[in-house]
Amino acid sequence: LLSRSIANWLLRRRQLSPFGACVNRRGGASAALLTDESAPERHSLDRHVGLLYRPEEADWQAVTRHFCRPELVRLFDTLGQRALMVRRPALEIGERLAGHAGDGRPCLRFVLYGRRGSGKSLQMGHVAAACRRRGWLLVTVHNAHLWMRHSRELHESAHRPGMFDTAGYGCIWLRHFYAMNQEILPGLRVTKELSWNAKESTPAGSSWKEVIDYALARPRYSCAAVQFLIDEIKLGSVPMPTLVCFEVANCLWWHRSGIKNDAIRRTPLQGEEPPWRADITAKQLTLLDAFKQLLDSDWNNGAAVMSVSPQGALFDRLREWMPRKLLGDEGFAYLDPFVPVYVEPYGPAEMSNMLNWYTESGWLTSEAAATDAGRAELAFLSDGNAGELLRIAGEW
Amino acid sequence: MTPTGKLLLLSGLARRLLAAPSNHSLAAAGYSNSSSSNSSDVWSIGEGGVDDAGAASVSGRRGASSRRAGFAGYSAADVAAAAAASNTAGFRSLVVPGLTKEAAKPPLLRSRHPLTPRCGRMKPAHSSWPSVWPTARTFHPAAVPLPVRQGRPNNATENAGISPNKWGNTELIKVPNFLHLTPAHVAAHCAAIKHLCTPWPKALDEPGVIDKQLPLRVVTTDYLRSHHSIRDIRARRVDLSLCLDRLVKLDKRSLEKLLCLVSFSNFAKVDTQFVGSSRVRHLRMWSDRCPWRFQNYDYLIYALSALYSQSLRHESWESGKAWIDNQRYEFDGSSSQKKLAKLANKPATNAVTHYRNALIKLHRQPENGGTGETHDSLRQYGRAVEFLLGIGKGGGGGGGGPVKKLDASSAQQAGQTKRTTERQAAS
Repeated sequence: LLSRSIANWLLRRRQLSPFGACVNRRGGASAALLTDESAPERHSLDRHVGLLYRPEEADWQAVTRHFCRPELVRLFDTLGQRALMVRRPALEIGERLAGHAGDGRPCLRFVLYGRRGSGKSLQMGHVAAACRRRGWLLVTVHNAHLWMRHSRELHESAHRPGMFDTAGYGCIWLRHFYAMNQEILPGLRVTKELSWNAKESTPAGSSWKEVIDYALARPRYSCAAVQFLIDEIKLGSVPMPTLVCFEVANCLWWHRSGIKNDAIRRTPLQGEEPPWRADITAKQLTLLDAFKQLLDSDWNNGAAVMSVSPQGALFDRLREWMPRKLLGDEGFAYLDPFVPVYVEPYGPAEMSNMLNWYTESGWLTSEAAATDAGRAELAFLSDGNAGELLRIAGEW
Repeated sequence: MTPTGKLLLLSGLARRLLAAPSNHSLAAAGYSNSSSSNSSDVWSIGEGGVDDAGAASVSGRRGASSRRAGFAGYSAADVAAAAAASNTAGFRSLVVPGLTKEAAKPPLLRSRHPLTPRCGRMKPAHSSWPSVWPTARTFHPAAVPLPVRQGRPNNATENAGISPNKWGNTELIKVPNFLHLTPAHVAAHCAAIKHLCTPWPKALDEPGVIDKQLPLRVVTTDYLRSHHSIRDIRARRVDLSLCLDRLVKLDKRSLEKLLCLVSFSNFAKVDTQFVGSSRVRHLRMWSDRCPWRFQNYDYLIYALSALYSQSLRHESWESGKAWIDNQRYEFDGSSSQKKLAKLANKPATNAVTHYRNALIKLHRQPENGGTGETHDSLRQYGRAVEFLLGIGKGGGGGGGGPVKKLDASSAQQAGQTKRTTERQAAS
């Protein structure tokens, strides 16, 4: 990140003056900085790009909070206020979804890609909040790559022989799903009979809440519950459109994981020490495979927005961040045709607005941050990366 | 050597040099056989009388030195002759070689410089270094007229702190010298074989001609080591390169098989260069697996022949080749093409063309005509997908009929890209 020179950055942004990129905003007018439009679905490409908005409390608690990094949540708690930037990728996806998704149309797929810290998850959060306000059902997965790094409870699956259940993560996800869709869930009904085992089953016509409650009470069946609900979505029994948000989707097709299968021995990789146990990849985990089915294109009345990140390339420490390299041949073939959406680094206006907000909210405390040279230095050090700027601004 | 010894030596040297005549003949130094002082006086018992002429000549040479007469012959005439021969009218002394202690000869002084240094005696008009040093030979300090030094003294007292000179310097003898390959030598060698050479064909100087006439390019490297051994292990490596267009009889299938075989090997690769708009591919091979250079060259020629002949040969099991075995991305047979059939609404032909071109551009590497994964190719792919599914900005719903967004320029561009890809597919 830091290797790119300021000259290249400025050239890319077509700015000739080194300090022209970050104009210190004088005066206290907040119209240029914040927009009063707090509803994400009403943000438009013409008016609101580059401006910050304050998410509503309900939106924040239910949806957007989950898409933010812990550092950002802590920042908002520290400052006592929340402001998120409206950016182009989320608005473009929102436009496509509004025009062409839902209403029985085939599932559209969007893949957000960009460097680490460029803001992919927050863009997904913006899209998710907008869809939630439109009344869509939200299925969001945030920690798939973490599910593949650690597993505490791993059982052989009963409902999918040959695969493994992660009961704990299933329960956590069901709770999170319920909290996110609390208004919608009471209206949803199961159309098929769900048999948990030879003796117990939930009849058709039960509400989704019953299914979730059953699974939370019997964690062994949490992954089965997730699979059943996803089957329902794919069948089309859900009256409203569904948005699937999957962070770090490339972990679904990754060949490594942090979970070892003691029963299977594999050929050792270079420099690996014994014992050489096979990894249990996402293909063998029922929970992840269930969400992978939602990313397919064979169901209607919904859309999928996912991001690819080197965080999903476990144990490889890849510097790649392009989608085809991260997804691999198999992942690309599975998701094809999808629309890749690039989350760019901050432009001059966006950077300027962000610095202004950091200054106004009191996050940037040093005097140097108020000067043109200081702002230019912040812009240079972060290289337009939102996450880097957040970290660096914490030191100024 | 003690200073006294040195002095004695010097004085002995001085005496010798002063006493010697100017031509530095060995006779003056006392080495001459004929001037051995008592050899003419040696009488072996049982031998005949002294040759008068010899005695006379010897005595003449001896000059005024007096000799004691030894036991003469048996006859008075002999005695008289001997008496007449000797300067003194006395007797010769009996000298038995090996027993008689001869007069102390001056010590054999192994002079470091019995002669003046060679560089002082060389005459430019007659000096030809190639004739002095015609072939490779061990260093000889007397023959090489250069004040060469080699070695490093360990401290300031060893050899007065300066590098040892060439006399008796084993380090100079151990290392190889190239005194047999001076420019004078090289010129003489070239002159000797020049009549066997033909002039360089001028036509080969034009660019591109030499690659056409002599397509096989073999590169070897020689190394020079300043070390006990001048051998270098890297000198065994041989590089061979060949333009793929020069391999005749290679049809599309054979060329693909050759590229596939090359991709398996760890000593061959195919380089692609773009000269203008045309693509030039070179097959490059290298070998250092054999200990000697000519062995590596033979191996490469063998490997090239095997590669060529095997790529021309088509086995029956090659018909089982799958889509994944293709050397470069092919849209036909790919899963993307199969997915088109599963689309809800059948897409328009030009949408499929856009999609196909975008996929080819995205997947194929630059040497195969694509661009690989870049922002541009991803953006083009995204636009093609939107067009295919009908979700462009101004597109109609559901991915149905033709989208009105296309204008003339982009249609032309689409046509051009299609033609380009077909040309490459045919190549």
